[in-house]
Order: sequence, then structure tokens, then C-alpha cells
Amino acid sequence: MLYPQKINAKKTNLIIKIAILISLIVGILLVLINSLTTPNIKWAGYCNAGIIYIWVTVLYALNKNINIASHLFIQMLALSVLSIYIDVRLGFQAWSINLAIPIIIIIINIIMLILSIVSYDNYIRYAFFQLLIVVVSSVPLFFIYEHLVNDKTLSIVATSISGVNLIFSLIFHHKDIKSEIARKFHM
Amino acid sequence: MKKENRLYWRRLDNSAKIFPISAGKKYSTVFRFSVVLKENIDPKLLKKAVMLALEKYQSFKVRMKSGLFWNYFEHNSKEPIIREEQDYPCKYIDYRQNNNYLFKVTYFEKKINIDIYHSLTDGNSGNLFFKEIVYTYIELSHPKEFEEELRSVRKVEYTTEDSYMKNYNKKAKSNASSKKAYILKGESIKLGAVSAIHEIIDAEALKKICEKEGCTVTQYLSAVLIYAIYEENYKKNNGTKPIKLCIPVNLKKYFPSSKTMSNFFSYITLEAEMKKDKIDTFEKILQFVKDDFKKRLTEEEIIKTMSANVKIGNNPFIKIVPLILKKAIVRLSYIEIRKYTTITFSNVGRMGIIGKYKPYIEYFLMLIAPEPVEKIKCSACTFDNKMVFTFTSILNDSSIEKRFYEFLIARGIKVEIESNGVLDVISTKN
Repeated sequence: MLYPQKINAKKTNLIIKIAILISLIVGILLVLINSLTTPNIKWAGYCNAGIIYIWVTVLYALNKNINIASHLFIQMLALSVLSIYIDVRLGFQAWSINLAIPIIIIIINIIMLILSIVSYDNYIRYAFFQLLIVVVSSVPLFFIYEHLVNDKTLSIVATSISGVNLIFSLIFHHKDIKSEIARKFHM
Repeated sequence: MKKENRLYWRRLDNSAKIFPISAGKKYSTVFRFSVVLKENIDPKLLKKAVMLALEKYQSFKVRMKSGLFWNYFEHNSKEPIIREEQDYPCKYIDYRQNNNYLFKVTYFEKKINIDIYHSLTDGNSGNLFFKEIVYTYIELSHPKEFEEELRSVRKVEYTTEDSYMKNYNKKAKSNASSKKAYILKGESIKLGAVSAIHEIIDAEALKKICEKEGCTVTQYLSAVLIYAIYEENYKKNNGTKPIKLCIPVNLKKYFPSSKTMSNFFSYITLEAEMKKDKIDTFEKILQFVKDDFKKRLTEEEIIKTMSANVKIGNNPFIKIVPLILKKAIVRLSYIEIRKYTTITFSNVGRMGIIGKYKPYIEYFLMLIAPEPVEKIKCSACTFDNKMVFTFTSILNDSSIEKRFYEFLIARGIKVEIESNGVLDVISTKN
């Protein structure tokens, strides 16, 4: 016999598809219950935002070969979007851009800085995502420029840490960064 | 602080560029080599053999990454995963589930398979890597008999250069036909299944018939294939467009200085106007195939085809389009692009195995992934007196395979059938 009789039916994909379908049904049910019981408080929206956030993280984490820096980048984006969404739904008091996003940026940049020191030899694997994190970390400057933030301190601290992070990388990993740019942008 | 080894990377060769842009679950661009040995496979030894072969052929120890304009290969520090065969042959390689490798080694009873993503290499170089795995596996499983081979190192010499760029002719003009091809009609097999039917042909008997007919084995089998399509699909569906048979060509034969392990192949396309030219018997088909081969299989014609393809990849407008847009455009136009070929037949010829290893081998197989437009793909390879002609198909009908088999049997050639049982095949075993 040349081939196996029973062929793998790709159960993992099926389980994920079923779980996504269940999440979708739960999301719709939450909206229905919300509108039937407490239509004045839109709590179903927060729950659904949470479900979407969980799925972004889970689907990304399911790929067992992910790069830790790419995971940090995704978390940074997903958490920032989630905090802005909740802030907007609560009447936009701007705590997301005053506090939440700068804190997320500070934490992610500190982790990246530690990573670039402890994984000195493997830094090139993180270089591209480090550059992306630095680019996204400059967003608070835009908030300041547009006068969207009340207290500039945290935003300035966040962007400064990101700047330090970039300078550190350019000093100690400039060849890696140059090589990464060459491979990402080759034509 | 100095870094010892900066992470190795290399560009994709000119042919390889198209595969990651167009490939997906339905169009996997994967080909497979298998070997059937005389003993059951030991997975631990197989893993060791793959690791040792990878040390020699570092060009396979890579992962695919995306740049802004093109994909590229980067060194992969992980170990390859060796699994028991569980899926249909030549399925899309999800590199995330495969420790990022672009090839997959599996085993089943006495058989070792390697599925290779075409971006990595072509059939000719893939075959070299696979043979290295097979040699090493046989040595490891028979250490006494191969004591000397295990102590010494079998040297391999190769580069990863883009031989297309080195050898193409800037002035050559394309000679590609603009006519769309007859597309095989019929329902597809459901649930993503792929049928594999192997026709194990008596190579000596086939060679004698070819000598009598004054043609090569590839020409003869191409003619039988066109005849089977004509009788079983074309006539029944009242086809009007030409049957176009694509035959890959190993460019290293024309540029022997190339030692590249990257892709370096081109192709010729036979264009049989069945109705217009009244090619309605096997004899007429064979004559047409011989004439068309003579016309198309020349160095000048092959360089023209290769150069035209290189020019597309070198076009500055194509170069500056971001990868994400390239993917969207190619995938949207995929069905139109693929409508210029009815079927592909790749013959890698003799496997060229060192004599001492032959007693441990039954035969080799080669398979190419079928796709939604080209629902059947054919391949062949020869070991000793066994030529295995393989149909990989997603067409829910095995009449072309049956007609092919019956034709050879009627000519007095001994043929045995093996299959993966997806389609109801010819049950006769001679």
C-alpha cells in the first residue's frame, strides 16, 4: 500500500471555524439581550470589542512560530484601538490618548529595549518590528500637535522612551537595521 | 561586541517570485518526490538523514519572509518536522505549521515523501536534495554495509545564484501563443481531495516501441496523453480550442555552467489544433508531437521563452508595485492567466542512483499539484526498468487515466497501477 487509508481532515481549522461561529452568535445574542433589557446602557458593544480583541490575540498566538517583537507590535495596536473604542463609547473623556496609549507605548518600548539587550545576537529578527513600534510610538506627537491631549507629560515621556530605544538600537544594532531595511525594501 | 553570524538572506530567483504571490490553498505550486524502499521507514533515522542533508544543502534551510516589494528567503534556525503521511499529496505547505520550512518530509510504511514549494527550487534541484536524503537514510539504516560512506563526506557543489538573470537575452522577443487552451471539463473532487494514480510502466518495452516509432519517450507519452484527453474529454465535450501541453525544460542542459540550486527551468508548449488540423488519430497526434517538439525544443526558442519571463520580472513598473498589491492583482487575474495550458507533463527522466544503493530501492515517484484550471497534472520518473507515470488530479473522473493505461496495454507494454484510492481506478494489476 502506497498511501494511508484515512486522510487527516484538518480538525484544528474546523475547531477554530466553529469557535468563531459561536463567538458571532454570542455577539449577536448580547446585542439582542442588551436592546431588550437595558437599551439605555450599551454594554454589548464593550463585550463585543473584548471578543474581537481576544480573537485578534488568539488567532495571532495560534501561530506557534510568531516572533515575540511582532506579538508586541500587534498587542500595542490592538490594545490602543480597544482603549480608544471604549473611551469613545463612554463619551470620549480622552483618557485613552492622555493615559492609556502613552502607558501602552512606554511598556512596549521598555520590553523592546530589554529584548534588544538580552537577545543581542538575535536582534535582527526583531529589527523590523522595532522600527514599526517606533513609528507607531510617535503617534502621541500627533495628538499633542492637534491639541487633543490635556496633559502632554505622559505623551512626551512615551515618545522620548521610544526615541531612546531607537537611538540605542541605531548605536548597537545599526548593521542589523541596515540589513533588515535592505531585505525588506529590495526591488 | 561583534556578532558572529549575521542572519543570512537571499532574493528569490526570477521564477520563484511569482509563486508566493499566486500560491494559496487551491493553487499550492507544490511538487513531490517519493521513494518506495524495500523496508519500513524508521522515522528517527529519517529525521537524522534530513538534518544531515540540510547541512549539505543549506539553501533549503530557509524560511519565506515578505518585503515591501518582493518576498525573500531568510535562514531558518529551527529543525524540520518529520511526520507520518496524513494528508493528500502536494497540498499547500502552511509554513507556520511546519517550523517555517518550505518543504515537508513525510513517510508511510516503506515510502518517503518530500513535498517542495516551487519557490524554493525546481524539480531538477529538488531531486538532488531528495536523493541526498535517500542516500543518507539508506546509509544510516545499513551502517555495516555503508561503513565507508558514513565515515567520508559525499561532496556537493552548488550556488544559489539567479541563473535566469545571468543568462537571459535582453534582445530576445517572446514567441508565446496568445490562444487560450482547451480546459478539461468535468466536476471537481469534493472536500479538497487530490487523486494520485501511478502507472508503473515497463521502461524497456516502452523504449523499444519509441525506437520503432522514431521518437523519444517524452514525445511518445505526450502523444498518448493528448490522445487520451482527445478521446475522453475533448470529443465528448465538443472542444474547439487547441489542446495545449506544457512541458517543463531543465535549463541546466542548455547552460551547463549553472550550478544553482534555485529554480532554473523553462518550458515549451505544444499546441494541438485537433479540429482545425484534423489531428484525430494517434498516428497523426504522434506525428504532430514529433514535429512540434522539433520546432519548439531548440536552444533559441527556449531562451526566447525564458527571456520573456525574465523581462516581466524585471519590468520597473512591476518592481515598484507593493507586494500586497501584486498579490491582489495576480490572484484576481489567476483564472485568466492559467487558461493558456490544458495540461502539464514533466518528465524528470532517470533518477541516476549510485549502484550500491539500488538494491534498497523499489522505485521513485514524482507528483505535481493540480489546480482549479489545470485539473490534471502529469509527471514521470524512471528508476531501473520502472518508469512511473503519475496523474495527480482533482477532476472527479478517471477516464483519461484509464484510456492512457489501456492504450499502453494494447501496445503490449506491461503497466501496473498504484493509487491513493480517491478515484475508482483501473483495478487490474498485470
